[in-house]
Amino acid sequence: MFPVTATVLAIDTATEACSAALHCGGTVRRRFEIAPRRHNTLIFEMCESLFEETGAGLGDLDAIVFGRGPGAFTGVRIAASFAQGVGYARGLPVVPVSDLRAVAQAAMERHNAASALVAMDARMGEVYYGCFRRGEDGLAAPAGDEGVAPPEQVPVAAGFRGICAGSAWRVHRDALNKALGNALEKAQAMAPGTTPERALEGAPGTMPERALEGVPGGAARICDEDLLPDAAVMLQLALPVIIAGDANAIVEAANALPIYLRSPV
Amino acid sequence: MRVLGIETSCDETGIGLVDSSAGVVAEALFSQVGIHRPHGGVVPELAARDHVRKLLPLLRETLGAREMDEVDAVAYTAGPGLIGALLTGAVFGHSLAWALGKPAIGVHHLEAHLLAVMLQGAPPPPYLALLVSGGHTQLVAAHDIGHYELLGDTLDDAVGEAFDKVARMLGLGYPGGPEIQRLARRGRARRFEFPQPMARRPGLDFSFSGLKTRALQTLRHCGDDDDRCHADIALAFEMAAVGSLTERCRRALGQSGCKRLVAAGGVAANARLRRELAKLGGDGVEVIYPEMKLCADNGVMIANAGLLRLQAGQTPDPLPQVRARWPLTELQPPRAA
Repeated sequence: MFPVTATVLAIDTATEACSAALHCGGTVRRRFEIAPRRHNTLIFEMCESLFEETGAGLGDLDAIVFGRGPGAFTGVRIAASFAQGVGYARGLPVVPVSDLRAVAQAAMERHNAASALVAMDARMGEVYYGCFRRGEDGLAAPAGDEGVAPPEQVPVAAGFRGICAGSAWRVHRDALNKALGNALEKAQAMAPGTTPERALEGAPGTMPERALEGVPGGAARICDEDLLPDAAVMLQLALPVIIAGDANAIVEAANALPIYLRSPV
Repeated sequence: MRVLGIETSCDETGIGLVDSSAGVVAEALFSQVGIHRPHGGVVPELAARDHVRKLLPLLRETLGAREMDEVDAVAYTAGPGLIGALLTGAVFGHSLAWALGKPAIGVHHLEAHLLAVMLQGAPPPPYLALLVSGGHTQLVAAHDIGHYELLGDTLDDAVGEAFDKVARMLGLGYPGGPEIQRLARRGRARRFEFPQPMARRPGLDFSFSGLKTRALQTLRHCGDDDDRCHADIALAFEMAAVGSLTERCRRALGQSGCKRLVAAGGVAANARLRRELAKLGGDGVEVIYPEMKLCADNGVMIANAGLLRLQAGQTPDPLPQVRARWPLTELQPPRAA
């Protein structure tokens, strides 16, 4: 159990984004940069700068949070190696957070949605995917297993209703839309001439899902392809389990390991 | 001063703890050979995945009852090597040091091999060094720590790579070095004689691809299950490869007037090479090879190289930079920033 004032460092290096966030004195400070191939050095610089800004130090940390994947293999390993090293050296508990879940959380908040289908570009014609539902605590919870598949084969529950997010929507929009039963098109058809996002404006107070009820075959009215995993969001997802001391979500440093989803060879 | 060394440049996860006065304090090593054997060579992604699983268990094994407090600095391999594998060890090692406010230093893998014999009491450079492994075949004039001159290099395959490839031709396992050595013991000398590569060419460069082709051509004359024939090929190949390495060393000793020769790297564990190089000794020439366990990649040699540089006053590295390609000759002597 940790007090709500726990000092927690979160990092993520799984995608082209590199991010770090520090929960300290009840507030969160954040660093975020698109920095391909610089994660191994930038992550240390970001953490240093967070400590400098807050006056906190490594000795003040109560826990480490890291993006455990899926994502770029090398990037996910950088985060895991960092969490292992710092976690072991300082004897800290470690909380691994799914990168798909972090994107889901950010998307649900940005668009005030209750569920999300996240698909991140996995290269080689495949995507990492995961479905999430927003719990009573406001946090994204998995609604099914995460996986990797060609975009047209992403399994989507019949009647899925929610938002779509993640980098794969930029690369494989058509194929993913097909997997969703052309839900994006249906959503668009509801408000001719407007983008799905626009269609929701001007309906203040309504839950976005509500706006789409009645669309046959489920609907995805928003497609947010710009969201990348962010350590600040991971911090938000991990803080409750750290404060509650949730043994199911906290691991020791040696078990701070990547989740790749894709086999290596 | 006590330095922790971390090696993850290829398919060995090595951790070593070296003390400036007590020498090697503890070490742990995991070889991934079994993981890569079905693929006939190192698969980079498999290597990196295994490093990230093994680093912390091996660190615990190395430390035993000791605490990280007893470690004064952390050294890690910063290159050359497989980029994904390097990053894993470098970020792990750097974060250990960073979290404890201790110095961290990135080490050149080949320099660590070159200096490893100092762990068994050999004096520091100057000496001539023969660096032989699955990735390198170089003759180096080590003038001082950080001051290396490349005298000869392979024009094609590294010698260890040639051993691997010929082993595969002969239906032997991976890695090829020990397998060929074992089979060659049953070979009949002079059944086949492979010409020593580059024998008539001046200079100190190496070439092994012709020798490999020769082995393949000879193999075609053998029956499918002709064990004797395979053993004869293994012996002819080993003799020619070792002969070529030894001959270049003899030349280099003569040309440079240097009186000490150090062998290093995985192929330096080959018994025939050790025997033949030993014959170059005498007349004031000393031939030194590392103990068997220091030949292969290991964490102890990384700790040693880091320790030597830090003791010489080198400024620690503020960030974990790695380089997949990093010529030994680009190294600088230890210096304060």
